[in-house]
Amino acid sequence: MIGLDHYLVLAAALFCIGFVGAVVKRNAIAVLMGVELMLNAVNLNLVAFDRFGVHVVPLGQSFAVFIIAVAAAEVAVALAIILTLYRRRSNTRVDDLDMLKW
Amino acid sequence: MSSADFLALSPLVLAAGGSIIVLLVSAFAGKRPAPSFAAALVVLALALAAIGLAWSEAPRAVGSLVKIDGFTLFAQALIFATAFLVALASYRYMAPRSGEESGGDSGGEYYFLLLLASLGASILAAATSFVTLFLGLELLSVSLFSLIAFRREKTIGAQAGFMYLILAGASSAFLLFGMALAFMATGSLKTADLAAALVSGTPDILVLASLGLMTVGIGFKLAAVPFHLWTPEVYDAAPTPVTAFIATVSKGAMAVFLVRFFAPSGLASAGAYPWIFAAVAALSMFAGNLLALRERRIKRILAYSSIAHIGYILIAIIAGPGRAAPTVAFYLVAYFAASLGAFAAISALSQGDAEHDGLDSYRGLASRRPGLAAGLALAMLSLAGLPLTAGFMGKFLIFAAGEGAFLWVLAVLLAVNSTISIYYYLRVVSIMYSPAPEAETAAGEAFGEAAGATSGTPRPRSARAFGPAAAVVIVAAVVVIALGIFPGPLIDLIRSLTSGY
Amino acid sequence: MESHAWIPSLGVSFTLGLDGLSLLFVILTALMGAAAVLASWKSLGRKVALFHAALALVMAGIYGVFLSVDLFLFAFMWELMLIPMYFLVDVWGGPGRHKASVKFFLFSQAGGILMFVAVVALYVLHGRATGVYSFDYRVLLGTAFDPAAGMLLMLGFFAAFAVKLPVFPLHAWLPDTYTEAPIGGSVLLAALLSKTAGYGMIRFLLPLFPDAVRAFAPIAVWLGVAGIVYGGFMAFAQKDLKRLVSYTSVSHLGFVLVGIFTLTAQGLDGAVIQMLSHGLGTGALFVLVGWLEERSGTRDLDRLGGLWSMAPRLGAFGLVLTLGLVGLPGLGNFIGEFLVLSGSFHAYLAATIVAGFGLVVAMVYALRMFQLSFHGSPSGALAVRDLDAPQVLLLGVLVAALVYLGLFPQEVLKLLAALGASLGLTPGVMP
Repeated sequence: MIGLDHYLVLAAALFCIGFVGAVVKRNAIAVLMGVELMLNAVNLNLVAFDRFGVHVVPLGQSFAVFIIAVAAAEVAVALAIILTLYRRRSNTRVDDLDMLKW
Repeated sequence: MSSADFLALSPLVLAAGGSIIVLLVSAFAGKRPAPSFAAALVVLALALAAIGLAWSEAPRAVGSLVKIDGFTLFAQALIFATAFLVALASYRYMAPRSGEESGGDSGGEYYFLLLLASLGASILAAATSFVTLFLGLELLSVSLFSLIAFRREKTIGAQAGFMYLILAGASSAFLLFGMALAFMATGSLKTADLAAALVSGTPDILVLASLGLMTVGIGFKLAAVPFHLWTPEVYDAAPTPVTAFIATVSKGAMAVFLVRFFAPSGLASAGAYPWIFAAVAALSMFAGNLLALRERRIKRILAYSSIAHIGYILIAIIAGPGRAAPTVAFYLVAYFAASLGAFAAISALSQGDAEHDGLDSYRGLASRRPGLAAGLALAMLSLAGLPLTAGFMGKFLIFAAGEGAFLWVLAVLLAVNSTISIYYYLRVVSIMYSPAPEAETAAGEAFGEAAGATSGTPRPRSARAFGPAAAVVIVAAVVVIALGIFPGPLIDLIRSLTSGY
Repeated sequence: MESHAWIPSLGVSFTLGLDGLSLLFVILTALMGAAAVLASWKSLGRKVALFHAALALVMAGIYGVFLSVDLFLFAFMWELMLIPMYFLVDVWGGPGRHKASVKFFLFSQAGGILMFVAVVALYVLHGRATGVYSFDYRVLLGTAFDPAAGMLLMLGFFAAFAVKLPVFPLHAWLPDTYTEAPIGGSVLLAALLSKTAGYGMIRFLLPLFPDAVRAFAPIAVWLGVAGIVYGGFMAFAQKDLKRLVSYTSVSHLGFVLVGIFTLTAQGLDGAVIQMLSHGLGTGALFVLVGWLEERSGTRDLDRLGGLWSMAPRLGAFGLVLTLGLVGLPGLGNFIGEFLVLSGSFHAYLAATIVAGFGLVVAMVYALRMFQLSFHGSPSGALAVRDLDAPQVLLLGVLVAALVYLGLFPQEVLKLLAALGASLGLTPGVMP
């Protein structure tokens, strides 16, 4: 039987994979995907709480819809910026973004 | 939704509707940015006026999502007024660039994005629910990504925009994960419920984890140490007025949210939480001030200085019920005014092609542009917290908010830090008031100003004329001095507005 | 007494008051402020208006410090003096001005802000104990502390005063700053800014924290003695005339510290007279050195010489002021040092003897200075015009005041008499 715990572990794993991806990947698109993965892990969490939780009002699901919408907006801006960068130097490697040092 | 709700939300509604209008104006205005600029100013002025309308309904909670009270309205007024001034400072700065390489659009979207970002910040300042917190935050962030990368002819801006986007996205994810855990533990999306769960006895592990994760997200937005690493790069690469906006509105809105979250519940002074705040505050102060010592570029200096100021504000937040809100509110006004003055002066100097950023290009500024130099110097002195400026009164209030040995230690640390900080603020001032190097050659040519001044050829008229950015410098200077000499009325106003905290 | 509400919700008021002690220092400020303006009449070259604006702002801060009754106002004015002073040194100073001005500012600011924290702490402690939140000196007077808190607050105040006076280990900024400052700046620094510290100790430190001060007094006295001797020896080793005068200040102001912390009426009187005569004498000496440098283009003792024959009026004033440094009877310094030493004699015999030894050192450095610069044969290309009439008049007034102080100290002491009693100090013995 798959229960809440399974979803939580899956969400936590996805979150970590996304984070690691965002940190270690060298390609801008892949970094972006990592961030999106993190956001989706949160969505999974929220939806799972609604499915298994004792809460009556499905707040989690509606919140998840908000997050999906906002994430879409974020991706749109991100792709626009990546496109601008690509036009200037025809690659999407983060290494060349010498600013990205942290 | 009743008409009273509508009145309470009228500033937000006006800003949201107005931003659409500004977008339409910019679409139909052809290549000229002026119509969108004017429209944005009108919308911001209207939103500011609507604060008065909303005040008649305050305090009022609209659903469980937002609560409009005195403190929120104060913060919103501050945000809209700041956005107004930032828009003014942007006009000349953005104008000559928007035509080039951008396929002939007017650059009017800039003002649309600015409005949207202020709207996000205003929502953030009113949020009482995770949903509005997230929405406000993202509205602010997504607009900022585009604003930072706005000058498409500059690669560095796009790089910084992307970097900020990734970091902001990741930190939002942390924040959201924390919210999800809090939702699981408390079954509610209201921030007050999380605070209540934290205060009551021994909070369970989920609640603590949620707080930890949310700290990452909030710390990033505030640029508190250890989440500050993006600050200098982004400040440096973003268009200067946008940097001003990030330094003031974006951080200020988050600080207001923190006060509203922590102060009423007494959470900031309960258990181990003050220690977390104190550690972050102390680290931010020291890291910001020490790193600023090594910088030679003024925007990076201001970036580090902003990190330090967030440290100071965090001290005020721990001060607890009754004192945190007024202190933070006053400090924000003082800090906003000084930062705006500094960045507006930099914008005014950077019109044309060259960015006026390296400290060396400021040498002898006092003889070339005495007014701007005086304004910038005043802003620096206020950030340093010297008397006759608003910064002094702000620091005084933070000291006075302290109670108990714990806060006195922080107050002494603040004293030490403010001494360190004076060194780099004064260096900027000192460079401006020292004579320009006699033989201005290659280095001088890079900066149209310096070359014009030393070779005796008249500088381009546009670079010299009194522009809107200079007006912002004057406004900021007046505010800084007025608050430095007569802070009483504002303090009383803030106290009456924040009486609920 | 003049009082206006300033920030009423925080208990801050704009309250100025004048008593005997304030009056003396206000007179000194007026005199030396005028001297600073007159002395730099011809020597500025650029940004003259800005210079006088900064000078006026420093003066405003100094008056504020001497007159404030509200502690917030006092701390405010204290910090206010700094910024324009920094600019005076940084914009119009000598070749090493940037380093010197920053050093001056950081030292002063560190001390000043510690005092500011202590002021606010005092305000909060008093408010919590009594429910009255006020910065008014008269209200805060007699606040009771537990000893540790009192000591910490006292040290906070002391930090600011110790930097400004300066007290021995915190004097590091002084020689550089005094030396690099323009004439007007050196006069203000030496004659007035150091006096704000002594005034602050007498006005605020002793009455507000009597217990902590009593516990701290022996340390302070020995710090003062260390300053006297150290300043004397360093002055002896200098080749730069202006630097030499700077170090003599360290030495003389050591007497002020000793006098105040003997906690006797004599010591206090002596400290005040010593401050006044140091303000007049050393202020005048800085004017003289500044003019000398303008005329000869050097301050190097090896290159100066024979000034007496070239410029007899300059030489005459140099002689009088040098004798003042030595502590010749008839000039103010003698009265000040004598009273200080007699005040400390009972309680701190050893310290008094060492300080007396400092007087001998003073004799040596002063004579060396005079010998090298005014006597001897003029070296090479040195050509010095003598003082003109307005300059003679200026120095004449200052020297006259110094002589008056030396001959009629009782007039000054009369003004002070009320003060010692109000501080609860009995003559001659430790309270």
